[in-house]
Amino acid sequence: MSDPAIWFGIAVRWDDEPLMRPSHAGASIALTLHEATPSHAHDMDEATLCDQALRGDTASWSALVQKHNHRVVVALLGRGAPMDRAKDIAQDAWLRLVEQQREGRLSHLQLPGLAITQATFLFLESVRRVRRSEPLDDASDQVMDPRANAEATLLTEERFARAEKVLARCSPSARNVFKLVYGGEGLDHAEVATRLGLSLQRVRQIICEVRKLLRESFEGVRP
Amino acid sequence: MSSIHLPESELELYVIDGLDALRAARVEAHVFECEACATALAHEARLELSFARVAYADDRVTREAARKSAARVRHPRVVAAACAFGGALSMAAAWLMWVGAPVDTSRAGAFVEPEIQNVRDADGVVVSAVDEPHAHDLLDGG
Repeated sequence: MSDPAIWFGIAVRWDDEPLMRPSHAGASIALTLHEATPSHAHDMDEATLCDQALRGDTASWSALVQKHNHRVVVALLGRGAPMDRAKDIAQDAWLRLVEQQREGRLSHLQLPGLAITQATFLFLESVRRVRRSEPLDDASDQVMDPRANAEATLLTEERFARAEKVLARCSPSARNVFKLVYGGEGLDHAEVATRLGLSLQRVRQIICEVRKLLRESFEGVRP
Repeated sequence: MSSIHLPESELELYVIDGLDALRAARVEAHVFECEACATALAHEARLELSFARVAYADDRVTREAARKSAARVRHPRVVAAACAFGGALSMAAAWLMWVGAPVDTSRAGAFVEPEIQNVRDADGVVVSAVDEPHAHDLLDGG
């Protein structure tokens, strides 16, 4: 898992050269890296893929992992996980979801939100475990002043309010692209382009433009 | 550690999943060994999380506005229906009072027909009546 060069084509498979991982429920799930996802899965929309995955269709799981794994990894990076840990935890999160589906404990599948939540939980758990094992002197250094914490929260809220105003001033089409990419639907850029009748390049350009404005509102304008 | 850092645009494209597989792999390989770029990438990734929150908030505002707008459209109809119903009720009440209700003449202020009391003699001949001309002359001292 530590070789970044082979990670771009992740897909869940249950056949050739499996990497066996012990399941928490006693069963086992094999996960391997593979570049290809069965072509019929690429043609399905998100809802159909989720529906098929909930019925245990491995090709649909592969397609969903391939589609959403990058966001899960980025979410973990944003929470402070190093790249190798982020990738490992993301993979564990997908395994957990597959396990839950196999055990019939997954009634619905909303991605990437569910995978990000699962991965974040696993990451925070691992951080807590590390902290518990630290000596008390080291841990006491990390206790924060509650007032500073409140100020930081207030500052964060102000930044978000500013960013929301900036987004409200953007053109309706730019806002639409931004919301489709970052909203709860989990659309990738190609899907957004298809839905809005734009080119992929244009969608990315709009995202970068809105991102620049929002970044300035969060961080202040750079010289 | 590599002495050449990744440009910010490359990190940005990485987090938005805008790089091809080869370039993405290069970024990942670089941040494995370059702490500065790993920190910059983590910062970009944090921004991504923030943007998701901004998008959610904006979506919520849009939904709220749509809901209020729908409420505004529905409101005049409700008022018009209430007015029409009130008007019809008033007309019905007025009609009932005018036509159907019994007239109570004993109420104060109602017109009462004066009772004419004639004074008759033993033979039954009217000798005095209150409606006779000048019957009330004495009342005004005349």
